Formats: sequence, structure tokens, C-alpha cells
Amino acid sequence: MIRWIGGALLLGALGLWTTGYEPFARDDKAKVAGLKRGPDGRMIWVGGLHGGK
Amino acid sequence: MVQEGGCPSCGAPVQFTVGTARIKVCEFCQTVVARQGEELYATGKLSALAETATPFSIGLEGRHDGVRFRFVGHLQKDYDDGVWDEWYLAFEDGRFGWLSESEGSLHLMFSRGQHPLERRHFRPGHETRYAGRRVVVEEIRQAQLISAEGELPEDLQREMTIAADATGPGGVFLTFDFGTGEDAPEVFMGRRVELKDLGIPPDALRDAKPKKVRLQGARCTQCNGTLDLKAPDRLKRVACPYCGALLEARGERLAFLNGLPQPDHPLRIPLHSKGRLGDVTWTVIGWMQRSCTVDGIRYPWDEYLLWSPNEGFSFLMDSNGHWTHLLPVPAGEVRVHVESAAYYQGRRYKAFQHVEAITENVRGEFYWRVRAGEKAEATEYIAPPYSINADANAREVTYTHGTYYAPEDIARAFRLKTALPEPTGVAPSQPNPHHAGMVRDLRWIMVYAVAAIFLFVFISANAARQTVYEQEYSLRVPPPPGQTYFSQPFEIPRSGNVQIRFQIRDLQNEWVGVQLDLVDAQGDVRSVYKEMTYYSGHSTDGSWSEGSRTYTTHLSRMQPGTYSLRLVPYYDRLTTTRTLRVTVVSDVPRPLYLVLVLLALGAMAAYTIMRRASFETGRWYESNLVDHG
Repeated sequence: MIRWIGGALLLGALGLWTTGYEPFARDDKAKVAGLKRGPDGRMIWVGGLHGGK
Repeated sequence: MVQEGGCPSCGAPVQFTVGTARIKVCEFCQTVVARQGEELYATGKLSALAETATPFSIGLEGRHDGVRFRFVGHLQKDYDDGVWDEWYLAFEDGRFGWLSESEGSLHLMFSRGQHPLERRHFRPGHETRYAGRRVVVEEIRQAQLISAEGELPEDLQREMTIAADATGPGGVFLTFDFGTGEDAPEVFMGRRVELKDLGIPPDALRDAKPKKVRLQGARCTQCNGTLDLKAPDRLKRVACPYCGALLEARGERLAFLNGLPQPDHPLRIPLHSKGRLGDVTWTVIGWMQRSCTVDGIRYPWDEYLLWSPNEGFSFLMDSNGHWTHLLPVPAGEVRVHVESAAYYQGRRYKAFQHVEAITENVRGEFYWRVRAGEKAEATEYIAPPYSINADANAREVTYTHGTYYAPEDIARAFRLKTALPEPTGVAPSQPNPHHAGMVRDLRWIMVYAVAAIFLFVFISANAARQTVYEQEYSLRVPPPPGQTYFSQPFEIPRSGNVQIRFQIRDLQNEWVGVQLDLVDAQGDVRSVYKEMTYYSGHSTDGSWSEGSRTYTTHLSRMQPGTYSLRLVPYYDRLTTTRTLRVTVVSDVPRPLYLVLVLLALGAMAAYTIMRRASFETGRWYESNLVDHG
């Protein structure tokens, strides 16, 4: 039993390390409209998602 | 040099052929003829020889360790357990030895002269040293001469004599013959031999079947039931399986001693069943119910006496459905540290229990004078699945080596038609069912732990860990309204996680909230908010601090591409302008997952160790040689 659980754990860790998936990440995802590029090349947007605050 | 003469009693010719012989028993009238110089005189008369199972006879020749020998004398002694034969052997190289037959065992010994020892120190189980060897006294026996024949080295002691048998490592066997004295025994030293080791042509041996063989078809004197004896030549007592009459073998007949109660449960293995344990086929010839009482509670168990023509006797113990096969071992092969541990064949056996065992009931045939109420000091030492069991009384100590068997193994070995009861509790020598699993599990856990560490080191060494963005932001006081910063576009070159580190080196008793958004060219945003606090001071307990000046967070699995960063700081009471450094690093394998894997493996290791330990706790709870606090 421990053989399988240990193997699954190892594979899980390997998967996280190689894919970069972060199961404990607390970031939010969204899509914003009105994305503009400023004169100096910066991308500027307003509204839409404004972080967690 | 041969000396001839006439028997002082009957005149028959008497011939001394062995130089060391001092007496010869007249083969016609059993007169004991002694010689002194040329003179022959009678010292008494003996009764006729008893018929025994001995295969030997006077004049028989053999070879041992390449040296020829001849049987020249024969003593018969009556011990507590019957008649023993002892043979005086003259070797071609001038040595003289004694070959004793007891309970079917042969011991070839040579006199080592007298030794300054006192009999009062001798008791069964007593350890002493002789000729640089550790030896253990197995039996103290009283014997009385019955008869003799042939030539013998000294005049015969007709009084009751006392001897102690002892064994030592490597098969050494000793007899300390005190005769009628209290000290300075004559010591005979040798070892156990097999009949085949004596180099005697088989056709020269006597037909060894004794008269007792006629007991084979004997019937119970009380109920006339057929006893069907399996080892009649070794029989001392038999308990009728039908009526419970306890009978004693006296010559060719059985004498009733007393009645025994009916067993309180059916025998799990019927008498005369045959079963194969190890490489030996055993026949069940006897059953005993024994018990001990600890703290007022009676603990009964069953013991079956097994017999094999080649291996002799052994015992099969059934205690609460747990089965142990016990094979006799010489006491000298076992080294005992009383109530601590025993050592046998390089293995340590831990002392488990010491009880007074009482034989309550018996059925079947026995090679000793068994009786109900017989008591013995029983000590058990364990190294599961094995055990060493010592049974001692005032006369002898016997050691047996036990091997644990599961009920299904016993049922299969004896081809029992009904299943044996399921075991209850934990037996002293029961193998820990979790031990093998623990060893296997720990091995796998070690393999996975090493593999996890190796993988992390390897992946970490090959990770990009590329700083894709680093910028310092001034947090001014008071905060300008709508303070928002946009970064220059930057590249995240490969798929993977992203680490974002916030640092304010001089944050002191303040807090700053940071809203950070990453947006790609398609407008997909990943947002995090981090609140940074750092407070410190002094109290009566000394200095203290809480929070941190550096905070790190991770974003899951970002696709490669061009990103911009928007940062919005929140604060209200900064003492002065602070500098916030933001660092974005791509592809950072996290040691957190290695720690979690190792913790999980550690938890599994703890579980498997605890499971095994729990079984051991249950086992040792039953021990009466362990302080349970």
C-alpha cells in the first residue's frame, strides 16, 4: 500500500516541479478589456480586475 | 593378557581378557568373580539380566573414529524411569569407554578421573565448568544395580548411587558419578553418538525388539478398550483414551494406577493422527492439559506428545489457538541468563514468562511416569517465531526449541477435517504480522525519500530561475492619490511557475499592502495581493518582532509570453518614504513540495512503526517478567 502511496506522492511532486503548477497559489485570474499600449510601450489598463482589494 | 580360572561358585570356566577388568560375572551362575593377582574369589551374586531393547551384546565389535573396539562388559541399572543399559568397551588403542543407552539415545564416554565437586551444588539447570567448558546439569538420577555381565573394571556398587548428567556446547555429554558419596565424583566425558557411528555390522546387532512390543495390542485393564500403542518399547505410562484409566507399564503388562477426569474439551488433534512438521512425520501419541495460575487466574493450554521412530519425541502446544512445535535440545546448548535472556545457536531469546505449570489431565502414551498434578517450573524465552522453553523440576530440566505455527498450518499438516479455532490474543512467540510489512514499507519509504531528494536537487539544478523583472518603487508620504505603477513589458521565456518577491528593507512598525497584477498581450490577468507588516520592540521579556520585511508569493504555471505589471501600493502611516523592491523570477522549483513529500513519508513510516509496536505492546502486556509500571 505504502509503495503505491509513496509512488503517487513522488509523481505528484515531480509533476508540480516540472509543470510549475502551484496548488496553494492564491492568485486570481480574469480577463480585462481596454488594454492599451502607452507611448513608452507600457501596457496600460484601467477598470476590470483590480486585484483583491 | 588372558587370565583363566574357575568360578568360585559353580566351577564354570571364567576368563579375563581385558587387562583393566577387575571382575567378571560368571555367565552360568551370575556370580561376581573378582581377581587379585592370580586368585579368583566371589563377591556376590546378581540376578539375571532384564530383557531390554538393547541391540548390543558381549563380544560385539565395532569401530569408532577409526579405532576398533569390543563390548566386554554390561551393567543394567534401575533408574526412576526404568532400566538403562551401560556397556564397557575395550578399544584397540588401549582406551576403555562406556556406552550408555537411555531413552533411545546413545552416549559414548570416557573416564576423566575424579573431580573435586560437591553434590550439594548440583541441581537441574545448574551451570558449572569442566575442562574449560561450560556445562549444564540436566538430570540428577538415582540408580541401583540390577544385573551385569562380562568383564568390568571394578567391583559393583549394589547400593543406590547418584549421578548427574550434564551437557555442553557442541554435543558434549558428561556424567558426574558420585556413587554413594557426596563429593569427588568420577567424571565421564563424551558425546552423543548414533548407532551408525559405531561401525557395527547390522547383522551383528541383536533383534532390538523388546518384549514390550507385545504391549502393542494391549487393552485397558479397566474398560478393555484397545490402546493401540505406537511406541511400546518406550512406554512408561498410558492413559486410556476411552475411560481415562492411568496405567503403568510393568514389564509386559499394564497396571492400573488411578482414573483421570474426562477432558473438558475434545482433543483438537485426535490421538494417533499423523502430521508432517518440517521434514519429519510425527504421530500424536499423547495429550496433556497443563495450566498455570497467575494472580488467581488459571491459564490452561494443551500439549500433544508427538513421536517419530527416527527423531524421538517432541511436543505440540496449543495455547488459545496458537500452536508451537517444541523440539528437545540439550541444556548445554542453551546459555541462560536467568529471567533475562537465553542464547541458542547464535540467537538471543528474551525472557517472557516464568510460571509453575501443573499437568492436570492426560490421555495416550508417555515415555515418562506422567501423572495428574505433576508440577514444573516453566520459563519461556522468545525470539518470534521461535522460543526456548525450560521445564524444570527437582530431578531434571528439559529445554525445548519452539517454532510457532498458525492453526491453518497445523490443520493442513495433520489433515484435520474440522477447522481449528481462531487464535485469540497474542502468543509469546507469535510472529509480529506487521514486522515484515514494516521492514518492506520502511525500505520503500527510504527509496522514495532518497528519490524525492535526488529529483528535487536535479530539477532545481536544471531550473531556469530567471529574474524576468526587478524594480524599486518609492512609497512616498503622504501617498499620492490613485498611486498606480505600470511596468515596461517583459518576457517570461518558458512555461512554469513564477515567484514574486516583495521587499522593503527599512519597514519598521508599519504595514504596506501591495496589489500586483500581471497581464499578457491577450488581456489575461493574474492578480495577487500581499500585505507586508513588520513590527518590533522591547518588553520585559526582551526584544520581539513579528512580520517580515520580505514576502514571497508564487503564481501557478504561467505561459511564456510578454507581460506587463501593474502595482498599486496601499498604506496610510509610513514614517518616511520607503522603497519597495519587486522581483519576478520565472521557473522556481519549490522545496515546499519536497518537505511535504518527506513529511508524508515520515507520517507513513511512523504509522507502520506504530502498528508493529502496538502488536508488541499487546504481546509484552502478557509477560510476567516485565515491569508493567
